Amino acid sequence: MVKKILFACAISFFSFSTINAQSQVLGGGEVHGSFQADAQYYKQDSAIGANEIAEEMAVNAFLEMRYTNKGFEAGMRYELFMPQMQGYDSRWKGNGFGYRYIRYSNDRIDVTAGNFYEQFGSGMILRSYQEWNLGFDNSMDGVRVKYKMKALTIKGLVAKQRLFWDLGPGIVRGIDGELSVNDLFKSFSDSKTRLFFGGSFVSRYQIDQNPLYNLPENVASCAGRFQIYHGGFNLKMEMAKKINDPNATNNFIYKEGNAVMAELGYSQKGLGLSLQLNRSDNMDFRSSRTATGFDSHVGYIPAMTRQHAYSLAAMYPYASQANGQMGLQATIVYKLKKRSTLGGRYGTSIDVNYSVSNSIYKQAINDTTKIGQTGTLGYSSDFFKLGDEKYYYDFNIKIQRKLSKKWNVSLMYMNVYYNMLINEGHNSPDVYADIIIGDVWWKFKPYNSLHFELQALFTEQDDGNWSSAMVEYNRKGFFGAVILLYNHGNDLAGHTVVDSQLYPFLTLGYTHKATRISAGYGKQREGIVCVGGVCRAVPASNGFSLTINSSF
Amino acid sequence: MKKIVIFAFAGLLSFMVLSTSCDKVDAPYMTIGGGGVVGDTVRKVLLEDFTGHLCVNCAAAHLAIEGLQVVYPKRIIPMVIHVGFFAKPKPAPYDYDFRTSTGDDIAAQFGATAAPLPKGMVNRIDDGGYLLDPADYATAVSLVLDSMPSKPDIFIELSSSFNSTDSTISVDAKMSVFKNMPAGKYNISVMVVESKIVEAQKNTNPNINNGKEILDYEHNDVLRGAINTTWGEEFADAALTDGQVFNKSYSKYKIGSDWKPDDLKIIAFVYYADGPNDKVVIQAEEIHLK
Repeated sequence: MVKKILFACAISFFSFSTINAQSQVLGGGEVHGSFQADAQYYKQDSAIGANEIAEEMAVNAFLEMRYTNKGFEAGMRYELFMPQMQGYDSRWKGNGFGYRYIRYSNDRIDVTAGNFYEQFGSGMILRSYQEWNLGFDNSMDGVRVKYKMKALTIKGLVAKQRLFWDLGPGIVRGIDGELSVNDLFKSFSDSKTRLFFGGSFVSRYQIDQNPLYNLPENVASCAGRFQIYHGGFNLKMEMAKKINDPNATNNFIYKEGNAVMAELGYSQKGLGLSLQLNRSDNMDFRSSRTATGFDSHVGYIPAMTRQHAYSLAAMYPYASQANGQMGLQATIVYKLKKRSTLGGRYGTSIDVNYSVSNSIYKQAINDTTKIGQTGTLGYSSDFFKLGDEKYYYDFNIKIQRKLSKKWNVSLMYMNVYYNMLINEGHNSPDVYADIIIGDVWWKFKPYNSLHFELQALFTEQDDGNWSSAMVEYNRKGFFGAVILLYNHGNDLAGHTVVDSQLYPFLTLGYTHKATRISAGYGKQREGIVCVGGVCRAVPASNGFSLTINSSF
Repeated sequence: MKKIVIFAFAGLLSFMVLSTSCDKVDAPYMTIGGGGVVGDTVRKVLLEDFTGHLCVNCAAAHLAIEGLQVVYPKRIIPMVIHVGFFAKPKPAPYDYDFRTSTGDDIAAQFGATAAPLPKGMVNRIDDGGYLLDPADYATAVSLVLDSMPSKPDIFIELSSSFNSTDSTISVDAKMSVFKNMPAGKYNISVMVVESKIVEAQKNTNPNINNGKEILDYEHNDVLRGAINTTWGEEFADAALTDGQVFNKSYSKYKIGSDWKPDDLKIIAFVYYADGPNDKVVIQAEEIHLK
């Protein structure tokens, strides 16, 4: 135990001594970077299903640094998973430089060699990114060139993708262009209407050594997009297509894939409206045709649902289904005027959001071929027809009101449907839940505030009802919070019996300039963490945790 | 002029990418049969599949193995090993315990204990990691059976008998070396597997039982135990020469009380036990007990 405390202290010391040094000047250039360490000590707790690990303590950490000097830039990220925290893929275990690059850019050209992140349009056919909290990193390792003209920007890349501490087997080639019509024609340069067009092409090469299937070694995808802005209105649309790409996620069918995303928005003072639509069909696109799970994604089909911050509202998040989903999301944000009967002295904002996602309609291609049968065209699908299966819906309304200079209150109601098979991959009953949240901020002195939060989730499925209470105190850079999460259990007929369970958690933290340290102790429930529709299962844990992050 | 050059360059680049980066495949999409030669003295592969009755994607992996057995008749020796979280017994109908200490040892050695299942190994080849996703089984099998000579480096002949009085197995294994092989240690492992065990299997694959769990699932080639310990027995510690023959005999291996002798098979495989190819399987063979 003493060793662990010393280790934690060492991390703290390292963060402060290194990170507090602000950006350094080196040979006329500058050094910037960031650091994060997440450590968790695991204790066995059979009541919540928490396991200890042989190492007793797991640490995920990275230090990222970049050096810039005029047009030159070089950077790297050292990563450490010793071992990886529970819930992260075991292939992360290890340490080393997982990301490094050199880059040169000027007004026209931008060249990167090594690792880089890139996105074409909305990312439907190419998006490489990193989500530290998910243990997700599909960075490219290769060469990227961007050429910028007044109206047109062209990007081209050739790369392999990072797969944990290795590279995936496929080669990704891509080109993307984006044109600003207003910058192209002088007569449009002062127009209030802004118009952009874009187009992308991405191809993956992977050798075919499979004796069962006649596989395409080069799989191409393309996408076209436009965006229009006029006054408070905006309209965005992108369409993508992929040729035959038999792979492990679609059961090796040879159907072509397609996807569409559209967004219409309007905003003016005190009012914001948005409507988003999406449809994707057989569009799981990876640089390895045998990859599943988080591995080797090239394309990214986002979940069109709200990402909630409250813990119980985020308990049942939607996992995006790139191989088949039709969804929409509508949001209205309205601010009632200050000093009005309904708006009160300081105004009140109302935020209403609804999202739904369904399966797409699928029809057998002939009488002898089952839908999705391997080694066939799989199925046919009427573009405008919904499938029978609902994957998810979420209706939520949040009312936020500033009562006085010291008091701020928000109330939220949410109704959610969660298809277990689609979102978690097992045949448990689907979840219908109602969630109520009350949130109060009391700023009782300058730089001193208390934050109270009460949450309740009601459902007859899964683990049954939950409730949560939190009190948080903030004083300048210091904060401390006590969270009591309680599962009421579930003993209803037809469900697996779940015993009631309390999850207490205490967290303390301090923020100094760009450095934040927080430590926690207690129990954490098992659950799902999602970012943008990409989800990771987190096992239950009981023990001490420490997080340090900083940038310089 | 500069703009024209840039647009021309971009156009040329686009044309090059578009015209060379797209393979449209027409039917037939699959190969039916044709896995090379069929016969006794042919190269065979050991395909170990780590699985569990609670694993919702594992039935699909079993199906993938069956597909490979159609393409490579009698050349795939499957050994299905129930391990880890997904193999734990749970309340009925998942109360059967398929796990074995041999299976646990193999899983621990090759990193399958905590791996997301299904995973597998083909001849225990380390190609940036031992464990393969089921979608990679076919390629890995092809790299052995199609890329290497069909004649095996070592040929294994098995004979077995069952004594119903004391429920014991006897096995004789004869290893005939077909080519000169480098100096080193060579082991033989002899295992027992059982088929036609009808127990429940979780499943969500929509192409199997409409995505529902299968309560009367037929579990095949399930590892039951090791006749000569998990890592087998060394039969040579020297360079092997073409024509050499080694014999090993095992007897009095008692089968489990609920094992059905009619559904048991003996699997034997020889492998490098040291050197640069340490653990790589050279040849595998199987024989029905009865």
